[in-house]
Amino acid sequence: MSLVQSVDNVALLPAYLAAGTAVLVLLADLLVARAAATVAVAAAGSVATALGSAVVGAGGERATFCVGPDCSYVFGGRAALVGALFALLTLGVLALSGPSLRAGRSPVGEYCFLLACAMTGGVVLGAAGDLITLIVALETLTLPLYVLVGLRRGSVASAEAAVTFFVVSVVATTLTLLGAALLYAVTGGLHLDRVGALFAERPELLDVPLTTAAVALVLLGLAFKVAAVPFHAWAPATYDGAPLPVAAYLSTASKLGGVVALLAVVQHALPARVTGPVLAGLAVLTMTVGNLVALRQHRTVRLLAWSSVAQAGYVLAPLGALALAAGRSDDARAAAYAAAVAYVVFFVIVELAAFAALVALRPAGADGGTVDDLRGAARRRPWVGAAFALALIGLAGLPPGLAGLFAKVTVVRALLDGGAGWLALVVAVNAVIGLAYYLRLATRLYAAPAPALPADAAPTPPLSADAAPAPTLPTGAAPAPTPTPALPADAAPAPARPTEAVPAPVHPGVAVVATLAVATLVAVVVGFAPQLVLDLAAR
Amino acid sequence: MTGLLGALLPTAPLVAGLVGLLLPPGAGGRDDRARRAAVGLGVAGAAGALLVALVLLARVGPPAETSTTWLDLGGLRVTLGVRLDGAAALVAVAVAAVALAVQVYSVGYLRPDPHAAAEIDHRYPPYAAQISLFTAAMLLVVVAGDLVMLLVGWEVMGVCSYLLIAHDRRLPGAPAAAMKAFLVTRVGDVGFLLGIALLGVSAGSFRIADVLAHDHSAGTLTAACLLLLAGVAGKSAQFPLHTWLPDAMAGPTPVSALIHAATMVAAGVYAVTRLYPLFERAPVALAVLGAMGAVTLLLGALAATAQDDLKRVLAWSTVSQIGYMTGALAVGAPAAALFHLLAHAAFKALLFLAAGAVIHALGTASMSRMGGLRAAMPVTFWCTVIGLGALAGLPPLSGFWSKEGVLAAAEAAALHGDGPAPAWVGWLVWLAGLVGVAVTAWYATRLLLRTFLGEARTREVGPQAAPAHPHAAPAHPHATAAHPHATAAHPHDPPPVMRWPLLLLAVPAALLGLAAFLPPFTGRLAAPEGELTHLGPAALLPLALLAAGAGLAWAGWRRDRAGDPARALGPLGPVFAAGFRLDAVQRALVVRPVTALARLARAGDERVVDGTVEGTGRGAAGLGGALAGLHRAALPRAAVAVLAGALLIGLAAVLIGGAA
Repeated sequence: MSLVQSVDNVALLPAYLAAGTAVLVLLADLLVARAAATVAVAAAGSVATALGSAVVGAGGERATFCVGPDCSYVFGGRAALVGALFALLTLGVLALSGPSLRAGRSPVGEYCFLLACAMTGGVVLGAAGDLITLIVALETLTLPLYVLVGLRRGSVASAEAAVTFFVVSVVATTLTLLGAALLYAVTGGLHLDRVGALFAERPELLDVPLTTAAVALVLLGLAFKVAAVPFHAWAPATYDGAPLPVAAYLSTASKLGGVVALLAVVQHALPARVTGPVLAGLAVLTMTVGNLVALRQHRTVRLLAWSSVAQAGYVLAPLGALALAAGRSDDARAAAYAAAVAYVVFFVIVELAAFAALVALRPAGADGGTVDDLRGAARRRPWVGAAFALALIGLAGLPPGLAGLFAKVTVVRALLDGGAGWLALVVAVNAVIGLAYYLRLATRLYAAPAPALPADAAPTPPLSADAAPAPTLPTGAAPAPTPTPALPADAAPAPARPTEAVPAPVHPGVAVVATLAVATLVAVVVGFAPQLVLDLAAR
Repeated sequence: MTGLLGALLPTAPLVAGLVGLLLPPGAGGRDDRARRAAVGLGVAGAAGALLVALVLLARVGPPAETSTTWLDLGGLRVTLGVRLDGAAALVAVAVAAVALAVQVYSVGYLRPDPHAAAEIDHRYPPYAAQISLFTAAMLLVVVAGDLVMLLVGWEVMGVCSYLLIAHDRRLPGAPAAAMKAFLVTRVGDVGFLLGIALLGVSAGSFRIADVLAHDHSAGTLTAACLLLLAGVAGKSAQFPLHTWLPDAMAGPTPVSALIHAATMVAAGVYAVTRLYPLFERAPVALAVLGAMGAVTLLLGALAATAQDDLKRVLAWSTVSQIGYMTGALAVGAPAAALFHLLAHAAFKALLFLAAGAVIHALGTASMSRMGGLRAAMPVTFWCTVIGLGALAGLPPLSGFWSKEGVLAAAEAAALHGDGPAPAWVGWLVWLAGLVGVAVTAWYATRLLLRTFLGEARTREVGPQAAPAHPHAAPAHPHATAAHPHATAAHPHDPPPVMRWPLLLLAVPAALLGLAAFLPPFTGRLAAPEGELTHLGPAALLPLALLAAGAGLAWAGWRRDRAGDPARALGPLGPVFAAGFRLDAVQRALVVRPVTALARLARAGDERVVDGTVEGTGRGAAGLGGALAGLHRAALPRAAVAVLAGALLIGLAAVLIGGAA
């Protein structure tokens, strides 16, 4: 075997572009030292990455870093979809960050650099062909996020969120690595296709308990990234503590990364007989717990966080159909994978729209606030409010939000095709529970603005304190400053609240509104032409 | 190209309507900018549709079909497409023209009165937008190449009619009338939906071309056609689902013109002509249609004789005229039905707008308080004369030719058995049609005499002036007691913005009948040579009946100029005025049992279902709260959860999965 590999640089082009963006951002920050230039470089880089992914992906599948028939980097249709989505999500989050960056809460250069790094991880992740590339790419995606979450200067909640995220993530990665190592011990292969082929050739391997343990560990570690129950507890605290745009990134791009990684191992490497039941269990737990807890949330971002936990359950649900023999036929498997991809694409679009609307409705650099802070928001800003309501209804899966409706229909159909009617039933019941809180939030947008009664304002701080993360860091032990010490307006004592109840008109940046408009438009378009996404997902 | 034009046809008013809905609803007539924008949008949408329809009419050739697949979810395939032929283009022109006239007319009719309370003209933008949407929905029905699309237009029309009839919130009858219209048409729509589903499943496609080409089994076809007829009866106000139409007069008069002339009530007849090849193969359905049409025709005409409310006379006459159309369909003459539809669209729109002008000037719709308006309102008078002449079938006005076409077809079916349905259907339609001619002439003459001739009764207030029936319609908003000076004192012709639509509509109302001699016109209606132009001795019979009817009314009026010729009806008068008390029958047979059932269902719902649901809700919320409580201390519990979860699930997988 030759030790000199021929490297297909075209296949690597999107990864180069993404990594180049990161380096250029760093240089721009160093040499030009102007926030606008840095952001512009990052934005241009993400556009280039998206275009590069699309162009390379249009040209058929390309593989490189091959040892014999096994390749570590395979850039095909799905990799192109994933790469382009990551780049566009990065662009969107960058646009959402405008107000908070202008408010000077985070250093611009570092912020953009870290986002670009995460994007690099995401682009490579879609193309990963072996377990090591996969895990490294996933870590490249996640690592910058620890810092991004904690980047808000002087915010205890932010730091707390970052530490939570970091510790739990490290534990989960350990599990995945342990699983991968055990898998290697059993099969002697690391390439996804090789492992899959080995399991197919030697079914007796499956009878070794170690195999089952290895497979389960790999899956569970990856399930952390999509915030599946019971690996979800980090998500609400982290989302709520992070700056809003970063929370948007966590709930879209990071979640997309987790799904892609899970799909890669489930589809190519791991035996469906073992993964199916595990995923089905995870899906049921995730949907149910996520939706139930979301019912009782008072803080907007926490509500969205829990809802995105529940949404992860819907993504995993079609894969759960593999638990049954009927679900393991080639047709049913293909349908299940396509349904998971389609769902996550629909979800990511709608979720980005929801976060964009939230950013637009909140003061620059503020956190998500409580649900009551949004009371009457749609009356003050009808367009943004309507977009938010549409996104929420889309997340709930009701008709005007056709994108969400078709996403759910796709999942349910895949489940029924796979003979997993019971799981479809669980999905349906959960969709009903989900309605309760999505509609609560949506109606709150249109509710009459609360009368500026001091008596009414008084109970508000205890409410938010109730839902806020209980102090876990010693410094946060005093209850009063806990919610968001970084925000003087929020942390102000009760008498100051009535002034905040009728906020001055907020003017979000043009970029935020543009992102919201584009995301909403895309959601509406794919809602009316779901076939586009379904075809893309089936590739 | 024609496909694109066909798609553009409903799109123009649709866009205007959707944009119009975004305008602020306008508070108290002060929001002048929103009103102007709404007027511009509404008129532009209707004018655009008219333009497209005219181009389409000029270009249309043999039936053309364009369609694309919209969504393919497993076995469910929905297409987007248009199907265009001459008839569609003609109906589209009629719809767009009436819509344009209504939009322009409404500008004057719903004008804010500087002296009046600011409340008068609230919500003009949504009103104009809803008319645009209504037009778009009707045009969608006209061009739809797929039954599902047709259904979409059909349903949107139902919603818009609900909103428009209820437009004037201050009228006590309006919300109830809107609800009645919605519910009654809905009953029919259920049948329509089932019929479409049956046809689609049987043909394996919802495309009209596929449905028509498919060889359905006889039973399926009859069942589907009968189900479709239920929907047609609802929308086109045919017996026994006609009860909503007279009450729908609670809506503003221009809306009545739109609903009655070219859109909603025409949709049913049009849908039948669209699917006529299917009905031809289902004689049972045609026989039902013929019986329904004949009953409706007579019922509507007789009910119109005793009404005191100007608009209700016209409403019942619509019911009756639609009966002529369905009768023509039943005797196998869809071209004659469409011809009458077009002529009716012209003269009924004219009549309603003229009635609107009278109501606008007098502030009342009650004929007991009119009379002698000819001198004061000459333009309105002559327009009404043309409209009523066409309605009664006076040669050479449009209604004469179109009604003659229907009667000739019925006669041929009765005497020679020419129609697809049995000969008795032909007899039924023919005789009903002939009687109808006389009755129509009678009530048309009565309307003209009571309103425009004789002594002015405008100031008369007394028991006689009280409305003859409980649903007495609504005086126009201007008639509110707040500004009596606007009413009655000096009736005058309407302002130009209302006068011009009248004058322009008078042209087709008068002359459209002559189009039957133009080959391009008959060709577009797909009428056989000479079918629409009968000038034989047979035409003398209806003319004689017409003269008899009009003469009787005249004679009655001559004897007592202040009195109502309807008194000649004697004890039958109140029965006719109440529409044969079918509302009471409906109340006893349908409404009461349903209400009782609803009360029962409600009790069950509150005690059993609600209890369960609330219990579930409380349970879910409680569970959610408990689970949320577990997540308070984020970091330590999260880490523990990950490790414990991994351990437990891993163990479970090894122990259970390994054994499996």
